[in-house]
Amino acid sequence: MSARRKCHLRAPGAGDLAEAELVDELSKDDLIRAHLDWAPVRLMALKRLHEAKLPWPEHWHWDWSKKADMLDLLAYRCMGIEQDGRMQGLMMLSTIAAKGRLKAQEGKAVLYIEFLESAPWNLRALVEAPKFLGVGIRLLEAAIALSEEEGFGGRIGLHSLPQSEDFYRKYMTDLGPDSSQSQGLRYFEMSTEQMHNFLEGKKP
Amino acid sequence: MATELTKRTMTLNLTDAEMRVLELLSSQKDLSKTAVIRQALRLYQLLDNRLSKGEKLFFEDTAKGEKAELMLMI
Amino acid sequence: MKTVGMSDEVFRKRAAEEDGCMVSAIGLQPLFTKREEARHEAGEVSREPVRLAFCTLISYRRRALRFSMETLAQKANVELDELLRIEEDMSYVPEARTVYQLANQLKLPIPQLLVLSGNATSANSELTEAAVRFAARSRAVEKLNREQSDALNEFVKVLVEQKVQTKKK
Repeated sequence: MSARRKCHLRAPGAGDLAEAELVDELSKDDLIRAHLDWAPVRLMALKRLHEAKLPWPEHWHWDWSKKADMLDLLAYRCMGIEQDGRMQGLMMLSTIAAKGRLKAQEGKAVLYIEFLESAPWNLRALVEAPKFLGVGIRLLEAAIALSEEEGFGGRIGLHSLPQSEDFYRKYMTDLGPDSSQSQGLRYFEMSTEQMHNFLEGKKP
Repeated sequence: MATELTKRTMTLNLTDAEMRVLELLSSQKDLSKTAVIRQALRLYQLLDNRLSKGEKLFFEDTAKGEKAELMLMI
Repeated sequence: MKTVGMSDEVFRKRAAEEDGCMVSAIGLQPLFTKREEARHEAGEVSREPVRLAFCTLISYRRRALRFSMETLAQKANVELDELLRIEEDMSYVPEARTVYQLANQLKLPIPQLLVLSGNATSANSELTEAAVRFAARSRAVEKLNREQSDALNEFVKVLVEQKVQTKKK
């Protein structure tokens, strides 16, 4: 049974902070339901973008229902932020330790984020007025907590799509394009020190 | 109020050699012994999953350009 | 799970920093997925627009020829519920025989339709690009409006003009 922890999201249209829940172990059904909830909204947003001759987000084709089978394995865990019965953000993590690449933590265990996405109605690129802000922040916070729990010292790592590089660069170290794969996506890693800065509101 | 995930405890009997390996890995990886065991279990299940689908597991020596299949009976 | 968290004040600041950013991350460690699936997720190979183009093409062409679903199903000797699935379900791959029959009734070129339906592969990138453009321009509504009509006519023109050497899957 998954654990739920109360947290807040920013709700620009409805005052200040809205109460939400971090669900730290989603089921396959949860992912399928989230996909069915997100897909029509994403599709309408894509249509609007097309009509306005604006580019589509790089992850427009993601289908979380197809990732559900990953949860058959202990190696994967999915977390989500739920508000009013709807998933506001999803994050798939690998629980098999990745090797740290930052010099200060080379070879040490790092929690690797496989996929991370905020619901389409929370992204300013897709909707005029995002419903909630801070979903990505909350998910990174949750990843750090799990990394601590696993004994990885709060260290996390991920590969970013180009559209998200600026966001991760604010809090993590950009280690450049990963030569071990063909897409040339940049790898980002957060050290223990950066983790403290991130959580304490300091500049990383 | 947060609800907690259930965890269960078991006793693990290991030989001296196995315990030494566990302690060494724990020290090298800067992980607790429990964390090392959990990592091993996750990796074992993952390998079993892919091997049972008919995939093969290889080691590659990039320096020599050699590949060798890992013949696992799991 | 261990409670590691930021204060509400820090969160407000961080949430403001997130505003306007596209939050997404993609895993490339091939522990679970094969490389081809990982490349697909990264957008390198995406068949979904081609499948979307196939569904929409069948639907639009049927309506442009003023066929009801029942009429087309009867003429093509295809079950009505299968025709519905073909028009609505991007993941559904009809049998080649069904595609052949629909192509005949809808006066569309068979090899190209086999590729779009997922029954055959082709190295023709122009066909794929045309399919993506068509998928982007069109969505199903009750009546084809002028734009959708133009999109359909343009795509059909490309289909007819493209020479396609197909490989059976």
